[in-house]
Amino acid sequence: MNIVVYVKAMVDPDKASDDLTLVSEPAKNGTAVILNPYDKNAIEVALQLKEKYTGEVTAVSFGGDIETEKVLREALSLGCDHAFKVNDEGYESLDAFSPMLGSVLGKVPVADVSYFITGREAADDNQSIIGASIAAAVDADFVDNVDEIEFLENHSLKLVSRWDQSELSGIYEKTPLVISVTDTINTPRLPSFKAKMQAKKAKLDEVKVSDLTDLDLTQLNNLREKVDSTGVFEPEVINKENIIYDLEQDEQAVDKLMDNLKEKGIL
Amino acid sequence: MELKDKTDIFKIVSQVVPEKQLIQKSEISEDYGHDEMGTIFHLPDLVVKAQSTEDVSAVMKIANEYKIPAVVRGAGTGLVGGSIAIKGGILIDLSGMNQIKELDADNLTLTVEPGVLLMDIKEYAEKKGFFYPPDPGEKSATIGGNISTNAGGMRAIKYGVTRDYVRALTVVAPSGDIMHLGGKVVKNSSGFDLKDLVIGSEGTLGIVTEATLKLIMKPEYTVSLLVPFENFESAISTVPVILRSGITPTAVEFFENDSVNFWEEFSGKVFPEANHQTYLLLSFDGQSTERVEEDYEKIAELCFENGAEDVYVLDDEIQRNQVWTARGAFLEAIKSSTTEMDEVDVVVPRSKIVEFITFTHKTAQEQNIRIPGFGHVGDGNLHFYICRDDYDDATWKEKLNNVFELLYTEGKKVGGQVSGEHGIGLAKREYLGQSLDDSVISMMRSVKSAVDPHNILNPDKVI
Amino acid sequence: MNNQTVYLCATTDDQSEVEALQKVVQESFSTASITVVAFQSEALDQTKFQASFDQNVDAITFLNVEKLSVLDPNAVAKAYNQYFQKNDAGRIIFYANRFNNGIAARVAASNLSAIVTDVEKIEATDDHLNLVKKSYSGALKRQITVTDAAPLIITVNNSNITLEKVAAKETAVTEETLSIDYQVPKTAVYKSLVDNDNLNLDNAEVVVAGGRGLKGAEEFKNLEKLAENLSAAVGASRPVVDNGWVPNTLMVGQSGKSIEPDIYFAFGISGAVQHTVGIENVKTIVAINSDEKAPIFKIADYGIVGDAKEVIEKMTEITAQK
Repeated sequence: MNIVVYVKAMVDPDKASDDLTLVSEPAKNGTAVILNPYDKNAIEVALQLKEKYTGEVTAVSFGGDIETEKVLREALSLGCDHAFKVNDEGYESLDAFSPMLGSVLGKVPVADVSYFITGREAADDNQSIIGASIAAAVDADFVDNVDEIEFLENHSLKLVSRWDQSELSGIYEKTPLVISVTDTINTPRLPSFKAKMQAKKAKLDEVKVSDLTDLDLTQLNNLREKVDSTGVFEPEVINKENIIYDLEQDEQAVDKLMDNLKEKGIL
Repeated sequence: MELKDKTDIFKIVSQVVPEKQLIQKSEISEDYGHDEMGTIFHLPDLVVKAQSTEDVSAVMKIANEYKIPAVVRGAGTGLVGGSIAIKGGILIDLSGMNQIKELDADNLTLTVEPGVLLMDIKEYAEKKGFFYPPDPGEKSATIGGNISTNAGGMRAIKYGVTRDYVRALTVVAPSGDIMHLGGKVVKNSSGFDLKDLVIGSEGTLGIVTEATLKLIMKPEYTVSLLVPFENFESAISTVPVILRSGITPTAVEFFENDSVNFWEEFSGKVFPEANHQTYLLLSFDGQSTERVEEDYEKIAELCFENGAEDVYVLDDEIQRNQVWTARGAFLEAIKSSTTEMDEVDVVVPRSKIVEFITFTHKTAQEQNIRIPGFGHVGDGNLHFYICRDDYDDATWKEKLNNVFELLYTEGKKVGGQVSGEHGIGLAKREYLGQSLDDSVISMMRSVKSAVDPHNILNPDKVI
Repeated sequence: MNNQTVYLCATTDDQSEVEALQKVVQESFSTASITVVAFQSEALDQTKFQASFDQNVDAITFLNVEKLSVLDPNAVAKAYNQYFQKNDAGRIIFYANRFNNGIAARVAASNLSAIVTDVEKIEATDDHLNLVKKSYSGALKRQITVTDAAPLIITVNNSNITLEKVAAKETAVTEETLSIDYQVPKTAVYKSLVDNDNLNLDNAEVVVAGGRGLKGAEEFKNLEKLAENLSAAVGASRPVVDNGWVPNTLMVGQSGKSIEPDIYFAFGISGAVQHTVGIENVKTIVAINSDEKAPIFKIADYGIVGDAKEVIEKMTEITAQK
């Protein structure tokens, strides 16, 4: 049984808000690219599955050369066994706003996969749709927002999904299974030096979108033309009118604030 | 002139310092009576919230004239009672003198008032691309406090200690005279270096009211390595190998699994890679990724050659924070694992660390008391915490005394010093006396009485 | 704007869910034909739900899955899929929360529709929709333009417009019972995490939250005392949870809860977007921070520049006198 984990290269949020051009051209500054933090939790789950049930973990990433290479090598240094780069030549706008990306990723040729793991969302677009579309592409059940995992006998898993106001726990025996995980499910392990050195030299497997023959490219292109998601902008700065007291200048600051809140009927 | 009635202090001081800067008697908050350790308590008769060098000078002139004890306090984060007015008198609170006055980009200096917090200096300098390297664990301490104890911290092996970053000081002498020591100069052989005498004197020789600090350019890249070992001997014997490699890490920290366990219990978090006996935590910084990578790769190889079980590379900020946050909370975690504790902050020659830790383990066993510890092994400065647990008052006092006695004697035997960075204050005074030559103590006393003939400035501290 | 039917999909009768869907009609699709497709389960009271949409929409359909014991998103999605295979899937709209986003993603994947989650603004023109959503957890915004020809699923956040109830339509109510090809997992248990019996982040009108500025677990005990005086729930920012000072369940923000109390006190919280995204719908924000430049002051209605510990102490004193 093998495990596939999907990882996304994204621009470091701290850097993106300082320089919008990074968002449209992340490759221009490779150091601004990071591995989506949620995907680290996904990798950790994949590695735990491997340790529990044996098998190999393949990390798969879609996107430009520089970005995917960086995050895949990081995935290898964390302990993934193989890395698969899905090249997007000619498919630059295959983006997070259609299930097509999942359709493509689901077609990546890895044999005998029991579990497909992904982070709940990518910290750049916050879409949280990739797991569902992979599940549709590989015709598997999908368990989302998994916040707790327990490894039972006979390759069955106890999973607890947690949403804003509810949770679902259950035992899942059927494979293949697609799982998306939260960023509170575990503490990702640290990259070991030896794995890191190996990851530096490792060969990455590569496949082009157009090589994935059983993919319906017309449908893909068709949808692609109808969605334009290139517009990124900074939110309007709302300068709220506020009342600020300074405790150092005014010993009565707290009393004044509380009086004010009471007067206005807020407290 | 002697003061007959202590209640007169307020009247006299209020003639030179505005009344709103004074707190007297019953209005003085308990917080002014103790420091972070909390084991020593005494309130002053008057608190002066000084706003300027002139305020301090005016108050000291009065203190000197009437022979009133005067003690200086910053943020009160000390661990040895150095800022407590054990004889009452005047407590000069400098936490309100907290302005950053000048960043001189050409001379690479930063001029600050003594009440500026260490974390504020760090943030201010780094925002502008500069760096103030001394890095004691307590980031909410004031720079004045750091100077008066010559605080060290994690980065001492590569960058040195507070003393190495003080270019100039404005100091108010016990007489109230204002002195300017040092300057924005890199070299200086102009007479006695009184600046270096004041640094580390714990407020017994003068009051620092302004400091000009040396800055360096901020290193662009930082990587840490977490290196587990099977036992502490092999971890610590790797340290000299690292230090001889020609690559100087910014930090070499050592801790054992008991600290990790306390932290896990205390925080409810999982320490990454928790199931090892003992750890070294190393840090590297520099101006280019390639250079830093080259450095840590070489050191990682050296660690493997010396028996490391693995080497984890913390090259991403989240993971680095995870591990360093845990390291930063060990003290609190140990504190919460017991009912009461006291600390030993010895510094020993680096070649003697294994010997000293072995001795501590042995002492803990013989005295049947827990002594968890960790420390800056890169510079030989170790922190041990003696835990009271369930012992009753009398047994605890006896055990604590025995352990102090044993550890400080051993420290002296291996060529160490009583305190690496926390200072002597009141708590360690007895042990300083035992560990230094009589001639040294006597010279220190001569200096003190020459500078402060009435013994009014932080009396009965250090010596 | 073309004449496609707009489908509003609901999985609970929560007020915020119902209102968000009503508002999106009022704001962006006031002239369109509207069908509400509600998923029947314990989480949705049919009578109550129907009343809130009656005479405002053209049709309400309740989907009922035979023998469904727990609310499993796979089952819900399969039911919607079956429904939309029979009905023209033009514009499908869910209220954005993590549960619904999962349903929407599954439906979009089966239909190969375009999908945009957590939409804040919809602007309909003659032949396309302009959608705006948060990007980088709110540090940036992204505009997505979708032509009318594309099948589209969106999930919408609750917007701040006032709802005008116009009773103008004849509402046709139907029920559909479906049987789906899905087995819920063995020993599956679904439970609501909404706790109405105890004061907590979800139901409190006042929330007092602490951040790194509280400097340690110790200070949270003092915050609890203040919370008691104010009948408030206690919240926290992520760094505090990561440091282990408080449990995960108190976390407010991107990785934790989004909350909507009347008043939110932020003690020693600097105000990174990952946190403030969780308090967007709070009516009054009071920030207490020693750094006057902390970003939290930009979104605060009231503030005190000063040490959080000191302010907590004083507030506790003041509120104890009552």
